[in-house]
Amino acid sequence: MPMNAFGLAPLLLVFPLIGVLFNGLVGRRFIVANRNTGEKWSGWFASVMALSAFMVSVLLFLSLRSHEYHAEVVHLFDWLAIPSAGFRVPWAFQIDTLSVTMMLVVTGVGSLIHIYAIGYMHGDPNFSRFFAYLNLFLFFMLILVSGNNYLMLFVGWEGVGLCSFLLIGFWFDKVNEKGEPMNANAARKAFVANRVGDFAMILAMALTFWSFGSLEFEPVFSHALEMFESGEMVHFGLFSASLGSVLTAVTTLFLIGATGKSAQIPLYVWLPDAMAGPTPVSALIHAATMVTSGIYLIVRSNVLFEIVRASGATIFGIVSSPDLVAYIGAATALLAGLIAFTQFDIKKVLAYSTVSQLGFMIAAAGMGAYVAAMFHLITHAFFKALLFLGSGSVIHGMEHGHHHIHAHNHGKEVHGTPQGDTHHEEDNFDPQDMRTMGGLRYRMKTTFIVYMIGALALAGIVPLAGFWSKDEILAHGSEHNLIVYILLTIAAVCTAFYMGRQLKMVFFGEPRHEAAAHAEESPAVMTVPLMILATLAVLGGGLNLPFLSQGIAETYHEHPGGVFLGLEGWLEHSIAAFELTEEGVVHLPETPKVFSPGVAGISTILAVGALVLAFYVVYANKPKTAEEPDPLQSTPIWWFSVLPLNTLYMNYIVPGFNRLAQWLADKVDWAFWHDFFHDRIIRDTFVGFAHFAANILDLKGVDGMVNGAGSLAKRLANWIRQTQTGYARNYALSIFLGTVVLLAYFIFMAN
Amino acid sequence: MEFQVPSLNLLIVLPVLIVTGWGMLLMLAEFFIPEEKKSWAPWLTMLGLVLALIQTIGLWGYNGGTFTPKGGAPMVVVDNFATFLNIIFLLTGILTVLISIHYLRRTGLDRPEYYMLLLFSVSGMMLMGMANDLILVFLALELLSIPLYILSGFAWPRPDSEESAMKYFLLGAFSSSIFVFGIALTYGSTGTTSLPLVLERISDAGMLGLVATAMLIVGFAFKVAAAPFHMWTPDVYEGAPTTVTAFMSVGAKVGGFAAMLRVFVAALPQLGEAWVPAVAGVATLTLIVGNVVAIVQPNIKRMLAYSSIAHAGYIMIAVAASVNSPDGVSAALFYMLAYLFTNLGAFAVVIALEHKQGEGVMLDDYKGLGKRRPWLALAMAYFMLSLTGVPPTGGFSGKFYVFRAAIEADLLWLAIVGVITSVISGYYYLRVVYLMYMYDGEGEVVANRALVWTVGLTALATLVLGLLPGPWFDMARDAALQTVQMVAGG
Amino acid sequence: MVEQIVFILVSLFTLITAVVVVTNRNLFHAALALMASFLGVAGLYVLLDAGFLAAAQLLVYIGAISILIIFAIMLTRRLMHALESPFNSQWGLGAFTAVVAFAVMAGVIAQFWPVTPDSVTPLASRPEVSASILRGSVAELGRALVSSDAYVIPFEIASVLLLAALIGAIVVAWPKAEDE
Repeated sequence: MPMNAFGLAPLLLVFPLIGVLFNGLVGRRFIVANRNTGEKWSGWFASVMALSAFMVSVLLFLSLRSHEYHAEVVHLFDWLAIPSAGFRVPWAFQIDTLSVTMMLVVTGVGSLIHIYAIGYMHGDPNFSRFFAYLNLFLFFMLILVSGNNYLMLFVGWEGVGLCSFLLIGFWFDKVNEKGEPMNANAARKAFVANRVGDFAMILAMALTFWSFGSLEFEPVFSHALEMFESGEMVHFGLFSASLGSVLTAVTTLFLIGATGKSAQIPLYVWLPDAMAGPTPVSALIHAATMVTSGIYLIVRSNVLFEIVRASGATIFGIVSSPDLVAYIGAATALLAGLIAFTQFDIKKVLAYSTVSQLGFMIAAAGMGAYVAAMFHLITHAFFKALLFLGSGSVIHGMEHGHHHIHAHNHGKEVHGTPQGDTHHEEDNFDPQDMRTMGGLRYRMKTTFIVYMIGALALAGIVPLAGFWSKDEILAHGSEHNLIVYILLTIAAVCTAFYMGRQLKMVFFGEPRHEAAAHAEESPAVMTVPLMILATLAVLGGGLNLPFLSQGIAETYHEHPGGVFLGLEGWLEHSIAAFELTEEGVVHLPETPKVFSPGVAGISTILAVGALVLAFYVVYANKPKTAEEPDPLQSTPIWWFSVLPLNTLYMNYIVPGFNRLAQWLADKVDWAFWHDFFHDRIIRDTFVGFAHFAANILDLKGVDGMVNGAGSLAKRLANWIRQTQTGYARNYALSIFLGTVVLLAYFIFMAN
Repeated sequence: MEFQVPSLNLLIVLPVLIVTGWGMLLMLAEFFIPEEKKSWAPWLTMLGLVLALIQTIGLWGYNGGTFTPKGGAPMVVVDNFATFLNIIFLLTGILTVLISIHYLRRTGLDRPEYYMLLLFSVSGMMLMGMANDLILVFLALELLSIPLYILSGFAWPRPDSEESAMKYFLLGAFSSSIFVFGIALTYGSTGTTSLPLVLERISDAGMLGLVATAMLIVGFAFKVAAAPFHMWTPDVYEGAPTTVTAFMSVGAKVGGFAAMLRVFVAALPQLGEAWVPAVAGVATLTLIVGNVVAIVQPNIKRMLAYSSIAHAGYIMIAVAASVNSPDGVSAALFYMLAYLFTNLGAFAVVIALEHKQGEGVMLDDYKGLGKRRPWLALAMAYFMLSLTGVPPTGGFSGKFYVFRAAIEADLLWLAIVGVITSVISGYYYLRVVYLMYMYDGEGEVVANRALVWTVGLTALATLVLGLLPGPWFDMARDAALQTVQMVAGG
Repeated sequence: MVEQIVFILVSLFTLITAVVVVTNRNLFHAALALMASFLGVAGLYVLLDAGFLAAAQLLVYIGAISILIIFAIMLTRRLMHALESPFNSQWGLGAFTAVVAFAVMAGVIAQFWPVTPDSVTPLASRPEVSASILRGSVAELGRALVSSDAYVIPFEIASVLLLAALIGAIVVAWPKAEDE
């Protein structure tokens, strides 16, 4: 028996927890005592804890290798257990290739972001609290990915939600020009949207437990497979239902949960707003890790999804739940890609891009391409974290530039004042507005280079990481689901286009604002993590090169565990390596590798084309000043790209649009509307599908529902509260009325 | 006349005797202890409660009764059910004393009578769990309530405190009268008030038995603050001194459920078909009213009042499930244990912020607590999560067992109502968290050592019940089985 | 037959005075009518051969409760001139409750209609009550209250209850330090 380190699994949680305690208890005192050394202690302590967790993940990875990749369950103790009923939910860690992959991503990217944040958060008054939250987030995220049952997953799920909530609102004093607490509102919105998903999760867990008598992954999956093979029905007291329909319900509820956490249609609205939090948070939580937990959930439950697919069960006879997953993912990918066109905030573009890329992963998972989904999840974690951190560096630089002019004008000393995205800003300068940027490639060389790499990786340019992972998804699409394939291909074109637009607006051309002209490069503590991430974004594709793993497959079967075979061979040990047919479970010798040169060629050509289009045609030498409108707004190119929708739009929507906009303006509460929408739509009823999507679908429809749910409850509460008059005689009457109704029930109904 | 040795076993009722005796002892002691040493009262009270607790724990596993009328069943029974509940009541008493000491001094309410009344009320609660006769249930209910009426008005001449006492008294008397009517009808239809005998005869009682059952439900529902008999709760909770609110939000509620479980599960299971839907209906209404109205409360004491209404609803689910599920009673018991720690912990934090009586109890006063008192805020956040039912907290484990029992008893819809309302409840519980961490604020926090200990202990207990509920649930099962066996044995 | 007539008369008396209670605008008169209604109920008990109950009704309801009500009226309003509209904000709900309560009672009675000697099913299974209780012997009652094999524990608890109420009364009545 080779050595293994599975017993170390609990340390995964212990290290971040120590970090939380350190920064929660004493971190602040260090900083109060001495600002600079205190920050170093606080920040590095947290980072070292994250790195230690990463080391544990690496040890677990090595142990799995030496253990022939067999999943291991490290049992701590029973949590909810009723021995007589043969039921238990333990605190136990599921160490298999899937969870270790997630652990590596979470702790690896997490560590880099921790280190970066030391530089980024420099001077923030709540420095140590920030790191306490970051470590707390890691703690919960690791519970989420390492638990061996749905309930632990749910604990992590709730915990990361709480941390996200706390971190979005971290700068809670930030207000918009109407004096409303922006970040606090964004935090609340994230909270409300996620509650819907959480509710679905609870129901899904209840249903799972009820049907299979367990919440642990292994027993649930094996029980489900057995039932599928034997064709057994699921019995609920008096009722019974076919396995397919029960699992359809479970998986659909999982999907709803995933749409909440992973920001898919219709619950994606919170994610763009969540960018109000500090940039390292956007990178860690809202791009690389937490938002991928929905994908993890689906991939983890792949057995259940596959059974639904094989059983042919559908939702109301329309669509099967895995297909629904794929369609929702693809639709989100496209919609968010379109909306990203119209954003001017550097982080908002990335936010919509994240929604769009998450859509790719969800779509892949829905098509059964679980490995492709995980692959994209990993590469996306690399390059999107890189892009967010890069944008943070840009914002940081812009603020420096702005402070520079400010200091120049007023002769004030500004170094050492708190800084960050836009908090503590006296005037209306927005360092995140791309229109005020331009020409930054000269001022911020390192940032420019790594950002370029990230953007190209995201756009899917050979041979960067994004190309391989996205292409694998597309190849699956072309084989299994043409609609999804087409949607995703268009979404990929959009991706290339908006990234080209962003690169051009931020780094090329001439500075359009004095701040951009005086921007400064960020310190090494920020740029070094960027370089590491850039390296990963370049090389990440190597994890699952199509040519590589095919060749090694045979070697692997001769020497299991001997070589690392790429993600495909690695994840094979956790992800269904079987096919389900009507006859039962057929184990597959190996998962076939999908690579289609045709698909790869098409997508590469389209991506390059879109980049060229953005760079040399649409944004060739525009905009020149910060005030000039986006060239897209006046060119007909846009109309061709959405022609079918356009016809519909011109004939049916435009005529009613003016009135609708006016009505919305008059009647509906504006609290959550983006100011951008507010100005533009109402002032000149600008027409364009992108804006239609951005403003109507995105902001009004779903926001309205999310906010409506809250206000409905409030209205109901106020209505009931009116009965609370304060008069004892009313209360007595209520008691009497209740008594009489009960009596009536007992006499007339119960008899 | 021949002399009969009374067949009494006073040893098993010793905990109650200690508590009542201690109340009288305090009364006498007041004469002999000089004015300036009045601070003895809480510690003496604590001593009595701890002694009773030790004695109670020693009774774990004992199963018997005493005060047996000729040819009848014992009026007082001591089984694990009663012992488990007595532990809850005594812990409630001890924790209430801990949070009261400093609060009473700074609000000028520090009089020994407070502790005497507290002890009498605790003894009433203990009898609620032990009573095996409807007459005794009624007397225990009154013994529990009358001190509470006075304690609610303890802050007189503050108008809201007086108003709260008056309302509580009037409505309490009103509901008690309905309850007594129920007992009278039970007697009328079965010729007995002894629960085991009621069990034997109730199936022949016909319509009168049903009417009696309805009236008994009203009496208990009032005491546990279930809708639509809950309307006194917010006013009384708001007006009463906060320590009293804490005490009755746990003690009176658990006391009500103690007797309710005993009566409905041990004496009236045959009418289950009739009363289970009624209790389930009351539970549904309670859950909706409590959780929805709590959303708009700006005052934390009122919010916690509605929250306590909502929690009565969750326990009611377990009551409704207790006939058809072997784990219904144990789920209720476990839930109440978790609720005891969570709710008293939350109230301890409320008391820490209430620097002057009636000030510092608005939700807005919680703004910025995360910065000012990080540990207190963390504990409060944890209590709020536990009340919401987020794992891993005692509140979650409790809800889990309750919903499981409900599903087992074929009350799936009720479990779903419970889940939905739990989700709604997140809205107002987490708003406290939100206010504590998302805003800046100033406000005095007075946390003395006893209070900090209470917060720490309750948070720890909530965590233990959340992480390792197994052994405690097993205890609750042992406690519940006794009740069920008693039913089976007639 | 005579009994029937007496019963109808007493019932009518009870009902009419009850109607006066809720319709009279003068609170004091309403309270007096309430006493009269209680008296009518006591009369019904006499007709039912329940002497002890009738006495208790007289003592408790007329002797104590009604007097309490009149005291309350005297202390809070100007006596004799306390005119109140019988309708306040919750009369509708009150009427509804009354109608439902009536329906419930009517429903119960309708179940046994028409009444014949063997139709009183709910009481059919009532176990035999010992003759001494029916006699209402005071000595028997006293013994039952203090025997350990009877009602000593409720009796003792009632005494604790009264003690608690006594302490409560002192707390409420005692002047507060600040008030002096």
